[in-house]
Amino acid sequence: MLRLLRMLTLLLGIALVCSARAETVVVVNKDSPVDSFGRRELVDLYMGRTQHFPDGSLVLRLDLPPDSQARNDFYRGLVNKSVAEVNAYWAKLLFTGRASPPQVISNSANVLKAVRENKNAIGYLDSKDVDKSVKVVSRVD
Amino acid sequence: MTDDVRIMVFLRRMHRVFLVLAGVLAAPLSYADDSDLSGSLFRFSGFASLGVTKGGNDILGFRRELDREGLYDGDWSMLAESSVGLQLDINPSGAWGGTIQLLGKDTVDDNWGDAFSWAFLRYRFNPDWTLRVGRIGIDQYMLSEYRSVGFSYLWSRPPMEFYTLAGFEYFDGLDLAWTTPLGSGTLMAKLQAGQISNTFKVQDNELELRLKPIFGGTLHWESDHWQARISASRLRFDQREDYFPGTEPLAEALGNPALAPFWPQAAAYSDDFLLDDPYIHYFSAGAAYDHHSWQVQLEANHVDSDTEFYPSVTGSYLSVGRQMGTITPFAVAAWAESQNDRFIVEPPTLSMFPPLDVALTTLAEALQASRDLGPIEQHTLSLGLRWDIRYDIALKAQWDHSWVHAYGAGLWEQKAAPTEDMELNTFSINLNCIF
Repeated sequence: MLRLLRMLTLLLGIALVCSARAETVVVVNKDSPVDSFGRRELVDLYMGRTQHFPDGSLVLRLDLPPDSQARNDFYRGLVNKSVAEVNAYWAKLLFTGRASPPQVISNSANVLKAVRENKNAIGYLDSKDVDKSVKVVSRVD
Repeated sequence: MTDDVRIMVFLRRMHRVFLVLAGVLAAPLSYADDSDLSGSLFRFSGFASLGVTKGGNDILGFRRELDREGLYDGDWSMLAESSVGLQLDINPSGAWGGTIQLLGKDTVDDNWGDAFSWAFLRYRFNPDWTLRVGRIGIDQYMLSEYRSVGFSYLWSRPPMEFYTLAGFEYFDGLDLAWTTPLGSGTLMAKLQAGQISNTFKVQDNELELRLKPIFGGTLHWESDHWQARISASRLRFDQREDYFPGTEPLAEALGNPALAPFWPQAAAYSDDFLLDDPYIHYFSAGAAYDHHSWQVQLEANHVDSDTEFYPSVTGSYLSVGRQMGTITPFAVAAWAESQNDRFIVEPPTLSMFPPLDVALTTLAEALQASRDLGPIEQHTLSLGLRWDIRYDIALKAQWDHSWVHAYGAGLWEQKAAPTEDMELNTFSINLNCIF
């Protein structure tokens, strides 16, 4: 009974979180040759199928902390998976040595800073946190 | 080894793994200003499974992998399935990289060399071509290279009917992979070559199997919701012109020419243990679907062997899971069956000289017992739940019910081959995490 209640509470919580989802924007360095990214290219990058931009240069992929709302929104919008599911998927790639997951950055401000300072970086953040120092190449909602 | 001693050995090993881990965690992980990416040369990560398992009966021992100790008599054990893994990735440049993975678990021989599950260097020629050299995971099945990482799959353990047949997890050698977009997904083709050695337990004997050379190829296609793969490999027993490891005393006794007048078949029985054509061919295929809360996966494999003692066998499973919030109930049905019928030993003619007759009868019984350990005929139904407590912790509970046919328990550690059909239950509760 307790488990059932807990499950219902969790389900309710998830439903509320999903309904309150905000738009996430994907950003790159201003000098990046990339101007826009399709969903497929983003999925390939963030699910470890490629680690390179279309021009062949290595990508520095950035993630927000696993308990952040923006990370939850980003993966829910991109691949319709929870952070736990994405972690389980990444565990397969990481522990086989096939690919390393995106680097975790503590908050949106540091994502902006890292993208500004690295030509090959790509990151995402809540649309309300973005500024003009970076280039928006995609929107996920 | 007694349980107490095994627990001590395991804890000592875990202690060493945790010391390394503590050193890793002491490294600066602060979020204060992590926007400077220049220091991301190393990445430490790990995984752990901690749980209790109850399984086995008086003659059949449950073992999650072939190199683990068997669990008998329906006892509970914390060692049977617990493990800790620690990985260091080094990425000095986009092209070069290296990975070392240590896996701590309670194995038959407790050899620290075997604790290195991976240790390889990687070179990426371009985005499509990658070469790895060193100790590498065998890429021949869906859970290739992550079967120890419980957090990454639904079940408490990979289905034994398929995965015990795929007994090897890593090899020493090289592999070359090529990836390309295909349709809505990505295709990867891979070739592997190298050698394997590992220690298994058959009755009370530990035996080391060496396979050299091994060659394998894999095609793997993956899209957002689908995966499909086929693999084939060819392995050669390194013990060419020898008896199958562990069978030498029996084979040599049978080969004694003095037996011929009473037991003309003895010499041929002895030769059956010879590795005269020591190749094994392994084939497998699998598919998976993951969408709309459904997770479906199936795989089948076939081990084709010319050696008398290592029978050809086919294994398969079908798994279905349905995610409901953070809870995913699942069911798995799995089958494994050897091709050959039970081998019946032709008894010797008695000499009327009692001491010799006792020896002949004992030898015939030992031969029959030995031949009865190999065949496999069983199926298992599993029911379980996975609960994702947090984004990095999952709790799982699973019940397996296995139907094992008489003289068909080759997947289990056996004190003796079962002379009648048996049913066994395996229960487990375990916590899986990644860090």
